[in-house]
Amino acid sequence: MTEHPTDREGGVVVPQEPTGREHRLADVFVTLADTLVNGFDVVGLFDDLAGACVELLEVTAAGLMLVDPAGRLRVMASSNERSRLLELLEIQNDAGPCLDCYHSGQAVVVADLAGTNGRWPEFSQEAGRFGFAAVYALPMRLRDETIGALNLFHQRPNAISDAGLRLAQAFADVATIGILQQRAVQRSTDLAGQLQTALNSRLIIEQAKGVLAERENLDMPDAFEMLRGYSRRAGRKLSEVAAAVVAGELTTDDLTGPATRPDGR
Amino acid sequence: MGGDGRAPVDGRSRGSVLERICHACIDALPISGAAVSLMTADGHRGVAVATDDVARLVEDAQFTTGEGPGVAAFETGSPVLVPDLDAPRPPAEHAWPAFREATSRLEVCAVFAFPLRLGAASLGALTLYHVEVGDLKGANLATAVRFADAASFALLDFIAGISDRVEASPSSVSDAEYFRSEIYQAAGMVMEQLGVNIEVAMVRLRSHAFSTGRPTGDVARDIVHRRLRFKEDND
Repeated sequence: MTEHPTDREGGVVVPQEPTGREHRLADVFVTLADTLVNGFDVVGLFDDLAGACVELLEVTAAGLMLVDPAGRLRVMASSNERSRLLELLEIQNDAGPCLDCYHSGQAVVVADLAGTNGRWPEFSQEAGRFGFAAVYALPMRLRDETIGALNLFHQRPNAISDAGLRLAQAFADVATIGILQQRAVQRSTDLAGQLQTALNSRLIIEQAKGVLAERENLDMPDAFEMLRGYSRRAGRKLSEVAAAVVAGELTTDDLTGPATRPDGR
Repeated sequence: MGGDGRAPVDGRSRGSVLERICHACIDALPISGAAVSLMTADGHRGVAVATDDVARLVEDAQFTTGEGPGVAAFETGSPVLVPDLDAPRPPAEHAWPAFREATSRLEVCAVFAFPLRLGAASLGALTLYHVEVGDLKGANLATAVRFADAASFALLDFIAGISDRVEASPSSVSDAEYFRSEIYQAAGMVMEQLGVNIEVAMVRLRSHAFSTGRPTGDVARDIVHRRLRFKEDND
């Protein structure tokens, strides 16, 4: 066994080179812990998770859906803000792996979309046009309730291993924990209120995207990137930044200029 | 539950969508009455619909005193649930001394209020009251939140002046299309195009769709794809 060097306090010093993937995995969980301490931004967390799925699970695209009070699945975050991917996620309210996953509370694994033509014809056709060959839907479960789903897409069939699926389920579970964290921020202790706040936050972000798209002549993905970039640089919650943009409290100069983090870094 | 003989305030039987939503709340939830009020950030308030005299008086008390569950829900953007108005030592944010004084002679034991908003557009509040003490939670709370969602869209129509002319059922008001992201993106664009706030932008978008006989989602898509722009002199 390799002997590890110890630091001054006698603790073990981890070898200098974790794989990039382990580092990024650690990042995801540190981000979650961070939000518990520094104030919570559920939409920001979901956005980070969608990106982390693509990076760490090596899928082509990912989307996080939450169920609304009327039982519809609504997109909370996606790895790619192009409207076609968003529509592919939303179309599943009629039929699709996410809807089945939500109703059953079980993962829906479609390792090869070509073999399922009868099951969700419209969704399969749209997914195929997008170049997706494999689709996975992991449930966001809270005890006996399913509150949403994590949707993963890949260009190649049979692309995700069992280990990859277990990790994907862990990401879905992180998202569920994230929803519960709002309890600490809102006085509401009821899931219905927490879900509604998360869903409404996403709508504010859409409004803010519209404001920036019109003002700066951007497309929607670039408008979102402007919001997200500032949110990260300034260390401010994504939903709070969006609300400030809609309220006219943040100008484009504010968003694109140098940003001071609240902690001074 | 409902059926305790309180007469509708204006004599209309369940006509508008907002009225139907409020009456559906009484049927589905352990409450006695409901009201929807419009509110603005600068303090303008008005009752849109009330299922009975007590519900209307509760709203009047909130407007006169500037405090209460609906006002709090509107201002905080979160549901305000008070299962027992007479419980000792209420939390500071539910103190509402003037509101409690103004409603002390009403037979109101519990109040539950929900903000009515579409993204950042804050339109008003749905206030429910009950003549008995008791919680609104679990499945009942989820149902109430669902009604509040539907009431948000219906209030938007009300403000746009179109709800009386639309014979829509509550389910078509809470249509899937109302949550399409393009509608909210388009509202943000209209805000910039007209130089108005987000509430006005949402109302203008909905008004334009209605007056041109098109689904709101289609109008929104045209705006987002820059096939349609709102100018100062547009409706």
